[in-house]
Amino acid sequence: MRIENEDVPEAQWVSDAQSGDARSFELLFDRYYDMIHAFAYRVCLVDTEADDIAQETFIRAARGIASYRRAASFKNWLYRIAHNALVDWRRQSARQREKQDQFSVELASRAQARTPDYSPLHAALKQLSPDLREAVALVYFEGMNHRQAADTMGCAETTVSWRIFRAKRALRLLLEAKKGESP
Amino acid sequence: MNDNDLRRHLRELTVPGTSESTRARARHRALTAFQAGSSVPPDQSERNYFDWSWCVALVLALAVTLLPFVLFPRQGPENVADDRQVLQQMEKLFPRQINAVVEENGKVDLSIAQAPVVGADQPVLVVFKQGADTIHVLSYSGHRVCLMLGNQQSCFEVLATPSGNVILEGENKVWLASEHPEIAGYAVRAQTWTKSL
Repeated sequence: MRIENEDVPEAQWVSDAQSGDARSFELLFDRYYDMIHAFAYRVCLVDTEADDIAQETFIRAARGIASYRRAASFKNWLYRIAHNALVDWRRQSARQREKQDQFSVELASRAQARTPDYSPLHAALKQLSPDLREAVALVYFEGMNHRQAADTMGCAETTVSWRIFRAKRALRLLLEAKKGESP
Repeated sequence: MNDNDLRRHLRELTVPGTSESTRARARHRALTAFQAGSSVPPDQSERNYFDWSWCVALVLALAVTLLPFVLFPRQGPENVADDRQVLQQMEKLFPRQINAVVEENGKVDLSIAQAPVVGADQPVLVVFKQGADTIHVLSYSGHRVCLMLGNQQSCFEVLATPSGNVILEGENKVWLASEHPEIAGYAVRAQTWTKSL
């Protein structure tokens, strides 16, 4: 019942936003901005980048909301847009790294300085590829099953299963190694 | 470090909050894009599926479905088509809520999620065999299954790989089905299948 009650206003907001009501879109923004920002951060692990990705996600959602057909929940639709924004961010980052190779150490240290979490977990997640981090973020943090995560990431569910398996194995090794290092 | 420890570790990752100015800028830009874009009315109305009355029907339907398995326990070699049928019947009764169906020598146990959020993943069949004792586990990739093997409880996550192999990931150990492993004295076989078959 709880889910149903929560969904009633949201369905109305989506309908109204699709009809051009800016206030309804604003309500959707307020409901989901933190969620999308947290998801983006868990994948890219840099807060300023997460700000940009979350903003880009909502700009794309604003442009595309008329085409949203409710085959997926609005929340999962937003995750899908965020995933595409993250893919673009990765491409852009790779291009920037190629162009600005000589400044990479400086850029990396600046980015790190703006990220407050220096925990072993943060360091371990940083060691994973973005694909593995995204699978972990969707399944462990966002609570999706492998099918839903696969729909969001645009891949087969077996690929998600395999990424989760690899990520868990790597995280276990990395975190246990860190534990062994600490005095 | 077991699976629960890892989950606990992951929950410790802190996400930095966004500043009000960052959020306000994002909202402003999104609203600008919204007002610039064209919106059309939706073409479908939302449907509400929830209805408490299905509970009674489900109990009756479940009893009818499980009766043949109780009265006529499976004999002879395993039949994947039978297993597929069982899983499909259960899925009809509990759409997207089946975590696992465990059939042991004709006795069927269901593991059902409280909310309809699971069940759409890649189906996997795992068979445990020790002498005349045969346990069929029908589940989905990514789901966690616990069952009694002999006198001990074994829990593992069922994972299908892109190459069609099945991995059983326990608390501290991983088994590859292609290597025909043994768990608690039970020989293990596993396979994936497509739901459309």
